[in-house]
Amino acid sequence: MSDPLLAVEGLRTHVDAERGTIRAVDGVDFAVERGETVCLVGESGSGKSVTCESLTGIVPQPPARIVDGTVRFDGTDLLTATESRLRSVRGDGIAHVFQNPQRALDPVYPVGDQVVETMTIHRDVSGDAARERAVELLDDVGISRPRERFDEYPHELSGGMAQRVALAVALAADPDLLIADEPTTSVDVTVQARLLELLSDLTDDGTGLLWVTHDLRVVAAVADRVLVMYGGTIVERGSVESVFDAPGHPYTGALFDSYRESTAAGQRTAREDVPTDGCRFRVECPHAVADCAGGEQPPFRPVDEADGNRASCVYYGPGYDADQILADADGVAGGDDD
Amino acid sequence: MTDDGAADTSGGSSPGDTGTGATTGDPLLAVEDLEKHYPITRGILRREVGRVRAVDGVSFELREGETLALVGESGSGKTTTALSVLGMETPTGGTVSFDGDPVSELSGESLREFRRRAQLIVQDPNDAFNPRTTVGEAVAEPLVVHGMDDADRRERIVTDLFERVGLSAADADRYPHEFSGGEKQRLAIARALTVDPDLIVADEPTSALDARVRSDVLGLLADIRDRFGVSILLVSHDIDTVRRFCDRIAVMYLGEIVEKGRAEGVLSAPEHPYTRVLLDSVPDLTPGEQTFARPLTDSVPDPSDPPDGCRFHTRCPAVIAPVDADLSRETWRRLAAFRFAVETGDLPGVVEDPDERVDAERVRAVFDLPDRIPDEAADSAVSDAVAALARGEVDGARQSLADTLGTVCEREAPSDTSVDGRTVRCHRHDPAVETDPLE
Amino acid sequence: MSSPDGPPQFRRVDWDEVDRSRSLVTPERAALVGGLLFVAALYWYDTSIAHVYLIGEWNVDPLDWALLVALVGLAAYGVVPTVRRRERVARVLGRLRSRPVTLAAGGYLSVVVLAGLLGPLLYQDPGLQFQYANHPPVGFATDVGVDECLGTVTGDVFDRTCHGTLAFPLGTNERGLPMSYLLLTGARVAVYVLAVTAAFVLPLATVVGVVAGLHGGLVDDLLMGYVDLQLCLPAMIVYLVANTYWHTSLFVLLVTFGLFSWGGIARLVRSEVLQRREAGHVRVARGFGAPWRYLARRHILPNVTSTLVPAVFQLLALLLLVEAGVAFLGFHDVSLYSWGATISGGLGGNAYRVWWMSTFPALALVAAMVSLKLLGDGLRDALDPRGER
Repeated sequence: MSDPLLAVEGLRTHVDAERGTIRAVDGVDFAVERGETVCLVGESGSGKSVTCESLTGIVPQPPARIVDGTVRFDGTDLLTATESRLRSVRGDGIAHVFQNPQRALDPVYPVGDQVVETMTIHRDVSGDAARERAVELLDDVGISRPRERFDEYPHELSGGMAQRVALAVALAADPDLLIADEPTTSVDVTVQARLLELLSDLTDDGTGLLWVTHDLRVVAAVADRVLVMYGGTIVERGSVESVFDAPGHPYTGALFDSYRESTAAGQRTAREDVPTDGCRFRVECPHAVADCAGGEQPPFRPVDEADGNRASCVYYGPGYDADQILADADGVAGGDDD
Repeated sequence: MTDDGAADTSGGSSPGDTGTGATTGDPLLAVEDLEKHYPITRGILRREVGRVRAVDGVSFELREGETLALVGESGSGKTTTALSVLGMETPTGGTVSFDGDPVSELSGESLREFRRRAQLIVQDPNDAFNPRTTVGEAVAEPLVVHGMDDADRRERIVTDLFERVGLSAADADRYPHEFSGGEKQRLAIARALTVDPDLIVADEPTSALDARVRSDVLGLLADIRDRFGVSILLVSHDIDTVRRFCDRIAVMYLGEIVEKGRAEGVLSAPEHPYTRVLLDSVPDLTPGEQTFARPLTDSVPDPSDPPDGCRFHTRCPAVIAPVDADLSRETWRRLAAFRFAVETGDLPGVVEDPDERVDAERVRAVFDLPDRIPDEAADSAVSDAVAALARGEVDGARQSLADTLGTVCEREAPSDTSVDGRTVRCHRHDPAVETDPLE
Repeated sequence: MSSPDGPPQFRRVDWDEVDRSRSLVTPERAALVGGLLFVAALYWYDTSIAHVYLIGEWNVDPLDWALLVALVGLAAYGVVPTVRRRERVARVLGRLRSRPVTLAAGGYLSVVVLAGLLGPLLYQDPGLQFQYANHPPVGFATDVGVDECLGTVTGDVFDRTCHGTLAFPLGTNERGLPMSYLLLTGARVAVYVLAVTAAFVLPLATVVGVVAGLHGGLVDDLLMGYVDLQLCLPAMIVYLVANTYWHTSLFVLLVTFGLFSWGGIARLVRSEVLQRREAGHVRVARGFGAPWRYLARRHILPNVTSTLVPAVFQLLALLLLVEAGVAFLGFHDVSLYSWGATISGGLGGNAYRVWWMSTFPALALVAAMVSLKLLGDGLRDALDPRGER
């Protein structure tokens, strides 16, 4: 069995803010295999974006600080790599796509030049050959009249087009892993559908895809595996089928519930008030008990089948009855509206 | 006025009736042929060189206690419509009537009363409050503007509302930046309620919020609607929100309403091809390989230059074939996709290649065109077009396709038809148009 | 959400009965009108009956009338609202208290203003006393000739060194006027500059900026066109021309420079207003019927302060400097001993040896300018609730 494309262990990133230090990423372990799509799901403040930005070190430090962990990619630990090694990995090994394409693209250069630039930095092409390849790439991502569009500026493109260009820039150096942070959140739903199709085709040639989103429908459409995040920790993990079929962690259940009318109205915790020990969700969880506090987060245990999804919740351990949790949560099987 | 499935009020009035009569029969809000065009000007003297037809002939009604959703993507005109309803954009055509009176003719006392009875909730909670005033002052502001000078009375009302939306009275002295997005949106709802409105226009009230918070806020809105009988005009692009919350729904595309009716009906069995594409583009909550409906072409037309006839025809998977053409549905669809791609300039890269003389084979392959088309006229038109494209003559290709593959959808604008208690604006549902029914 | 006592509060309001009391008389307007009437009465008294003396022997000239009007304006729209909104002011002061630098700056400026207003009361004009010219400050000595040295004198007949004395603690200038007196007169000139600019330039620029920003269209084009035109004319040239062909006075200086500097602020305000008018809270307020004037006053302008306040204080500092510069060059009203004039007097051939003549006023001037800028920045931060810790 070959090594995973990306292996993250014990990642911790703290962010210094006015009101104190927030442990934005607080002990995260996961891996992405070649050709696999892994989705990081969570709400704002869960730490999903900071996690992604910490992997390649693009998170602004300060105010953030990566305090612990290893990120293994292509034989190197990215967190301890030299700046020059990191630069060669970025773009060539790992590329990013962000939510707002207008911010990711440079407004003063034509879009074609931006694709070419990435290409020339990381590949041995230049001049006309690079330009041709760039036009091809723009065509591949579904931009019509790519030769003409090559010379247009980002602000002249619609949101969907700009996002495709951003994708082309990311793909220009032929990365092994693509990290997409909410790439379809700011586009219309019909445009999103096209982008979903485009992005899920990418993994066919072995490229890994780490996709961050808050939208469970997007997860259903693209993910092979799911990692649910809350308060800087992963609270549930598993194949998309197993998680959607029987969400194990109370937080995951609450997320699914919000897609229907049944939500337990509760006080949503401010990010500063999320605990930094034990199960981070316990302040909001209706089933919280004394064991939920203290020490590390509860170990991951299988929810249903031994090889199915696993949740970091004491109720799946010895001495507890998991049925209490499972009774609340209605996964997709419990009544999908479409 | 066509029946659009309006809810039956307790007064027992017949649905869809705009006629004069008892007040219980009048809808709270009646929008008729609303138009909002923005001129495109050039030069110092501001000469008009074009118009952006943001809203182009929109009609709907809203009754007391009802919730109507305006659904659409960006550029559909839904926000402009909502703002026009409140009189914040002056319509360039059509009328908006509130409780029987046209809003544009209101002035003085009656205008003030309208401004009390209709309130707005905006999309971005971070922008919805004046950063320099406390939230208590902000929530009390409508009371102040409408003349309630008694500070104690205002305070009682505000305190009561704070508690109703799930916050505490002590929060009134804090500033907006101290609250989360969801809390601010709840405060926005409280502010809208202070003057006891009959109508709340909510412009994407939950788009900027996380899933669980979104659910909370929608729950609060629903509660308010049920408890106080407030009518709500909701603008949204999110199907989940609409499904959960609304009685009726109006789907908008490029400034027009293409389908309207009861929400369950429209969402479970959409009749308009655009509604179908829209709903089918939303991913299922069930994991697995998913295919989404494809419009014929991807690019959305410019609102300052919408397509002739039916505005959706350049992207419509159900566009009607020419009457005399002998084509299977599938073939026609491919030809239509080809034709409109050429028409709108949505051409793939291969067609642009300057060096190689692209051969016809390649063009046919890229557009997935069959080698032989049973209909002779169509066949020769397509061949001509393909050849023209191969030579790089896009205009020529456009012309030959337009001549032979014309469709009623581009020649005539469809009118509203009643289908199953719903209103649909599509030739496919028009009994007067010769076409096979939509599958 | 159950309400056991009947309908909720907001439903119990009978809106037909709520009476809108809209009075034209606000405390600010009352103060403004009252103050202006008082000044007008004084003026009439001055011109028709007898000369009016403000504080001691302060003879009133056009500049002083301008100052009076300015002070009335500032009192009506500055002091009165402050007293009325005590709670809000307390909060702002609280935020200021946590900023010692800003407090220090504010303190210094208060001293300058008080000195300027009360100076003539405390210190009569001693008149030109050339015999005491070039006196050094206490603790220092000079060998530049002093006719009548009030301190100890050392050295021989050809090399007399005069020592400082407490009679003239900061020394005297080349005409024998005590430096301490000159600092006070300079402070008064500074008060003129600050008060008149703040009272006239600021409202004009703000109103024009807001009107242009909110109206847009032709009104905006015309107003900004005029501002652009005005920005092309160099104020200095206009002042020098007025100075040469009309007469020299601080009043003319203030009018010229004030006239030419409000344009920049107006543009600033306009650009902020253009941004703010599309804000969500403005839209909502329009939705519940707030008129544009209310929106401008409560929603737009307060949010413009973060650009406006530092810009205005910057302008004030600049005008102080301009006045000093003009005085330094000699194109000033010689009867007003501004800091710039005093500095200029001390920079003859003997500059190093009579260093106190230029140094003290220069320090005062620099301290005033720095204080203005620091106060401006601090005030901007204090006015924004988000700065609260």
